[in-house]
Amino acid sequence: MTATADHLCPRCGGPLPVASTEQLCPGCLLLQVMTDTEVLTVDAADGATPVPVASLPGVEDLPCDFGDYRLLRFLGRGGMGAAFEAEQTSTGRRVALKMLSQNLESAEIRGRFLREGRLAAGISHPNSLYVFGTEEIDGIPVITMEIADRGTLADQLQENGPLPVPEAVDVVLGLIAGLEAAQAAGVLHRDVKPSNVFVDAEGGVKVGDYGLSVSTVATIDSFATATGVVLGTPAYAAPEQLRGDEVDLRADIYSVGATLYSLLTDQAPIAGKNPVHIVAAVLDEKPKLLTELRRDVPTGLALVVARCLAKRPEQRFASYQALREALRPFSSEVPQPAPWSKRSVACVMDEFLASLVPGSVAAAWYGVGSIAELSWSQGWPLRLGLVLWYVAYFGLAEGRGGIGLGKRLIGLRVVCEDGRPVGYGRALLRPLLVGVLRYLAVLTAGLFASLGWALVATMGLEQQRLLAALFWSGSYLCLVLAPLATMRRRNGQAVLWDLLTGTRVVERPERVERPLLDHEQVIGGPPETAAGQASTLGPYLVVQRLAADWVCAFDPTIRRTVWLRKRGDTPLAEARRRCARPGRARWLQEVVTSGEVWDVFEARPGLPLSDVLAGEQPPSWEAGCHWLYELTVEVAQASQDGTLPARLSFDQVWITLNGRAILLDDPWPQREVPAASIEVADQAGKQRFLAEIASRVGLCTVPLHARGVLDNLAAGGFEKLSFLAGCFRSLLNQPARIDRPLRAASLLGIPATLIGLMAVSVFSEPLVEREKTNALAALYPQLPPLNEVLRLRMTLEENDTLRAAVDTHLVSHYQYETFSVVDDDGDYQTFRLLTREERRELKQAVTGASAVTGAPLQQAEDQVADALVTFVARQRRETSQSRWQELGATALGMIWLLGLGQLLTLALLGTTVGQQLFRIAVVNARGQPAGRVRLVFRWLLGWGPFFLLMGVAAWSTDGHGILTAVLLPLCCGGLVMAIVRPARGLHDQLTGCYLVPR
Amino acid sequence: MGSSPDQRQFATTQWSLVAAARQQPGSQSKARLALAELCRAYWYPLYAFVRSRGYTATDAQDLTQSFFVRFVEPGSFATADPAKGRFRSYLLGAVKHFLSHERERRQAKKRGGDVAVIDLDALSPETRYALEPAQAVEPDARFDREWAQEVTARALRKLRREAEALGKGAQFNELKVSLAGDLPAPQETAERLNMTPGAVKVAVHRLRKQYRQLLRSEIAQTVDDPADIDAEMQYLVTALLSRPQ
Repeated sequence: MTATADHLCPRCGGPLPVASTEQLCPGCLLLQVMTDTEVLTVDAADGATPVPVASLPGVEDLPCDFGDYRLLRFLGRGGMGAAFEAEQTSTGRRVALKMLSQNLESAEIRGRFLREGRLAAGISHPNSLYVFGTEEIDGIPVITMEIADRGTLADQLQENGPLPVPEAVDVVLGLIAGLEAAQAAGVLHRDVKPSNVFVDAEGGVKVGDYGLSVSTVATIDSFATATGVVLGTPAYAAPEQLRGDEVDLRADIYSVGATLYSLLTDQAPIAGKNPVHIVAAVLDEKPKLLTELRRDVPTGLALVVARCLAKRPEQRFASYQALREALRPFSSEVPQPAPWSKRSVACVMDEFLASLVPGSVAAAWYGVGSIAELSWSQGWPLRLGLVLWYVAYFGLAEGRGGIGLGKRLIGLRVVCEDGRPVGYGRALLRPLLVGVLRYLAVLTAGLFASLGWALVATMGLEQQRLLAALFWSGSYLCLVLAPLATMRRRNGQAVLWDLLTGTRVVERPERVERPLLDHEQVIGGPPETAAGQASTLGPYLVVQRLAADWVCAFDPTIRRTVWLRKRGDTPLAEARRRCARPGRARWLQEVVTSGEVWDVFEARPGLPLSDVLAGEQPPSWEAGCHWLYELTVEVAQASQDGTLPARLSFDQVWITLNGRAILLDDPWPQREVPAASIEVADQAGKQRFLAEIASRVGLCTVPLHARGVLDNLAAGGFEKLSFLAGCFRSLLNQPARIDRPLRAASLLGIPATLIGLMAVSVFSEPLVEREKTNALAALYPQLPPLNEVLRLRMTLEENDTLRAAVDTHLVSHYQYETFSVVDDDGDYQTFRLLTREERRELKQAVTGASAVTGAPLQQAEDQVADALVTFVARQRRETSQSRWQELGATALGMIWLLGLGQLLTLALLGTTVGQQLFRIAVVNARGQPAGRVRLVFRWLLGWGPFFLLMGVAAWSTDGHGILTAVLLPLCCGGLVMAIVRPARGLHDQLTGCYLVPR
Repeated sequence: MGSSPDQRQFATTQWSLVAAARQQPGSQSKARLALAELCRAYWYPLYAFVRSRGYTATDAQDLTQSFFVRFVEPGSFATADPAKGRFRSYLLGAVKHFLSHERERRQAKKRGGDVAVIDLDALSPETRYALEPAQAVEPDARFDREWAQEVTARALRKLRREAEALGKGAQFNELKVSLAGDLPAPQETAERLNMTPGAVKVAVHRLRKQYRQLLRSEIAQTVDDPADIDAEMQYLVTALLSRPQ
């Protein structure tokens, strides 16, 4: 039985009771009570009659004057008020003016309205609508904010319909940047939807309407909506928000997903006849996948959106960073093809994990040195398993995120030709193709090997083997490398399987995170003076008089710090007033007090660059790269609209707490010795100014790949600043420093790999031996295992009687010559099972003795059997102990070899394999690659303790306890220090070296 | 909202009386009556719940009566801890517990089967139950839904009584649709009521405000903390609007 349509409310879709509620729907009754903003403050406004809305300017009155503003156009109505496009009469600035239009008598509503302004005023970001201020006009609270010329995304959708996929993703990436800035300022938006995202003249998006926002910092504000409207806009609000549960940024992420959904389809993910209907649907209906509504939406993107729209917050993206990473492949950003050097390093790492390690482990498990030793019938399940693992390793890792471990470390990813993520299909096809090609190579190489074998059929067995091996490896290498021949710049460096599967390997842009300003004495925070004691300038509380014409003040209404500049004879240029770039402090308004005119600018907490540079450490490239980019863009744009000051100095660059560089109109006044200024009227002057800043960034932190740009800048070699800006922009996407994981990988990666492989072989040896014993026992069922007998013989002295007995045993049962005959199946197998030493031993034994039969043989055999029992038992005991010692010794020996190898490559080439693999360069304090002598000296300090330790251990048997106690901590400490301080380990500090990305 | 009328009522809500009784054994009888009063107010959701659990009409009537008897009995509400939740969820838990103990049910019948706490015959519950739209919903969801309807209906009944006491019954009949979000056409309504359109607007506003107050105080009776009213309201809306599975 189900409810029929007759029994459902046409408005809210809830059930209609027959009696008891006067034919009114209880759902609607409840909802009306909850959402009716007019009666929301019934308690506070008890008894008061509602203010007639007619007292506010209406649409029909436009244009009209309203305080200092002339209202020009009605923009829209929001939850609490109406918004108009207006012109400020005194300044001529066009603003969006939002006024409270309901419940003007309610202190609570007024407070909430002004809180919106205050929260939004804390956010200054190119992707967020800027709030100029709040004021009261004729008793009506208003917020004035930046106007976005091209309306909202909802308007654009209505005009042009759904957006192309890359454009929609670009828009949402902008939206995410704006929301991230809001989050950094401690604000949750809670009402993200197309009609709250504005589009400016350049087509950039700006988040606006913080009407429902709450501060994420626990303040009294958090409870402001506790009794109010919690619904947001139902179609775009997360379920937990509708339920009234506590929300965090994942609720905003839901709304971002819903916004992207509607940008792509022109409909909200959850549709319904009315808000109430939608509420019910959002709570328990799953939206249709985007791919069902629009064909050209890639499945990957549809899944990203679906994840944003998950009903449970923990199933959504946990951060904007993660969401951005997931969306970026679908944006219009063109990925750069990966250079072959990086590809080969990633390939080595991935092959290591996908084939070498599992292969060795599996072989050891089966008791053979390598899988090739297993026959087909014996090894097919293993081989199949390895192939499956290989395909799964690449297919799953690349199909899911486009990156396996190797590619992740090196910063690459696999994408489709058009830059979109590869699905599982293509990702699985790639390793399959590689596998097939490799198998073909093995087969062909086998053919070549037999050819080589046949060619020297007349020669000895050893020569035959050598030539066959040469033929095999030569042809195998050629065939394996052949697919690389298709790599061309024009096809995006595609190898054969890239071309066949329509995929490419590209560089994953590494967005350099902007470091925050690390300085205790930041200027421009909220004032410490109590409000009552401070002097005022217009509506502002004076915090500090920086100079006669420069005052730092505080706006108590929206809690924002501002700078007031006394106006001289010339008024502020129109272009400067309009200037709304992130690289410039915004002009807010003018204040006239006692005959003086003050221009009010937004102030951002921070420091002048000259103070930052005066710190103990010069700023790092990580920070400097951002400053240089931002200043270049600002200088370029300011010279176009004529707002660039004639001269610039370090005192005119302001670094905000967030690490952003802003150009000041005049030098920061509070300096004893003003910084030297540079004339920037011409192109050369501008470049000189920027080069001057670049030269003050810690040179030893500049990556090698950035040096070319800086050298060119120093030489004034850029024709246009936009070219320079482009260069800095691309540098922002490259690694800016050596981090700990990379340093650890570069230090430990190669030794750990080699030691790991060695451990596999050392510990697989007894397994191999056991298998060999079994095989030989099967071949010669009546005899003791040949390999054990031979090993026993190796331990015996020349004139031992036991040795004579062994020889007698061997010569009577085995004929060495027969082993050489290749076509004799049984014996050939025997021969193959023996190592070179064992074969030599056998040859020696059978040539030195003569065969016997009967009693003498029986006697010899008894002797051998007795000796073998004790020998095998002893050996087993010894080997299990010595295995670890052996591994330790080999590992030490290998590290020793590695160290020597490093010294050699350093002396010859000035770099090491590890540094090349992990793209690390060693530079001196001036940022130039360190010289050979310095490198060798650095090597001595780094490796010295280790080699001394080895020397001590090798040459003295006692009395080296103290030396070891000193050297061992030195070795380990040096290693730990190098990882803890990745850019400057102990040996780097002692030799004046720095590590930077290559 | 320090001295709002809502808050003055909160101080003596029925449910918080129960809370007080747990600490002061002396006020037990008062609290018991308060609890019984609450039960009486919300008998129908309970009855519907018992019915939808599969009991026949006669059994359901019996059981509902027996259940109420338990609340009138001394010591019966010892387990009612308002701090642990709202009255609605407490009542639902209690009736479930009650139904799951068949033996207890029989005993209860023996003890108080003759006591009619509620004059069910007069209310003819089965007529109402049969008239309700049949929905394949979980009994729990049905209970919540009936509860939400009962809350809104009680507030509405009070509002009508108040209006009629002031001789504004006709006005109430004309304007009540505004309570559910519809706006009566001002001009025509004004003519019918012999008022100006402006006055109609003000009357609508007043009516909505009154209803809001009544509804909130109705809900306040069933929650321990006034701060929970909004959450309870939100819960009830969700309960009403969640789709039958």
